[in-house]
Amino acid sequence: MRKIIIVVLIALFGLSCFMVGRKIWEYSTVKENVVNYEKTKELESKIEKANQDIEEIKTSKKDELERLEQWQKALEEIKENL
Amino acid sequence: MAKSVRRNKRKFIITLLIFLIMTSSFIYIYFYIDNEINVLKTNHSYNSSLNYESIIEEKTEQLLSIQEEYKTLEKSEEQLNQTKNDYYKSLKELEDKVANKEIDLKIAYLTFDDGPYYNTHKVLDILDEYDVKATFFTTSINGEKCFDNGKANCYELYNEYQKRGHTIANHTYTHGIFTGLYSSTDSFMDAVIKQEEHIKTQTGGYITNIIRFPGGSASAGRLKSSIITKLRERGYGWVDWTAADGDGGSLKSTEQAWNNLKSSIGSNIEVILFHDYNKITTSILPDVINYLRSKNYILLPLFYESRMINK
Repeated sequence: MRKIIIVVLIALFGLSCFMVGRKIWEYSTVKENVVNYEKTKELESKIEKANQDIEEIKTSKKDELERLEQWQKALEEIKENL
Repeated sequence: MAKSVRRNKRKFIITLLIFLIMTSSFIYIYFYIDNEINVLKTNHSYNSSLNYESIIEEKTEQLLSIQEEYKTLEKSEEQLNQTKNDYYKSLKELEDKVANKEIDLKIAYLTFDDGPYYNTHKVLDILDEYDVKATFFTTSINGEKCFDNGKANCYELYNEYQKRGHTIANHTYTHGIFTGLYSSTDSFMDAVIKQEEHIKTQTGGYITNIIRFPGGSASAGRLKSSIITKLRERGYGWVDWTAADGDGGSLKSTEQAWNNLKSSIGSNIEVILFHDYNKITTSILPDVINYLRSKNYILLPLFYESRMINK
């Protein structure tokens, strides 16, 4: 009888070890996914911010960019005459 | 014997207890971790079917390319200055060739004094239409409201000059030929500096280093050489004109304007004086441009390095 109880206990202990091991593995997978997810979110917000910055700089430098184009054109014309 | 049985029984019970404690601890740990997993999953609504590593790689590349584009845009000012320098260098080269008659071309610098006026809009539109860059000698004598249209804001035109690629030059803040501008070198320089600051403010930083004396350099009389010294110290070059249609005086007709202009033009390099408020000049401007081009002139904006700028 004792032997049976011991065997059952060992089996139960083994099973619980296995279950805990599996949960730890699952936790590490979920944690890795969460870290990657967070990183993705962070990158997405950085991209959004960078896009906003680009739009802002394009708006604020609109005149400057237009002028640059104009000057480049004028320079080309002069070079043609040289 | 009975003692031995009791000891064995105690051992068995202790072993049993140890196993039970350990098993229940593991069960507790199991549920604790399970709870932690649920908390993580609840707090972060990620999609477990996505490959986040490849997404991260893709997004990082995207971010880098955007940052690269930003850097290029940020350098546009640097690029603009470089292009301007190259442009003026080429202009100088071209001017030298024209002056030495190495090429079959002439240069005319169209210059407009005393603006901005409301009529300047028309002048700018004509210049745009004919793809001509000119030089505007600006003054602030008229104030913010346009002298020829009290409802319009003429200070806005400073940005237009710049936007359309014309040279903005200094014609003093007051233009006060009869109100003390030439009473002393200091009063002249005050008006120069004030207009210089005004141009800078209105354009968001345009720095001019070309000036025309109101009424021409002869108006400075005995102060001319001391003013020129001061201008030179401040980095200015000055210019009068070599041709004009007479629109600063009592011009009565387009015929008269044409006669004045044609009789004053002839050199390889001309600096032509106009006034952007004058309606007669505005009306003949398209024909003037065509006429000059037919005479092999190319029309350019003045620049500091030009031989026509006195330094």
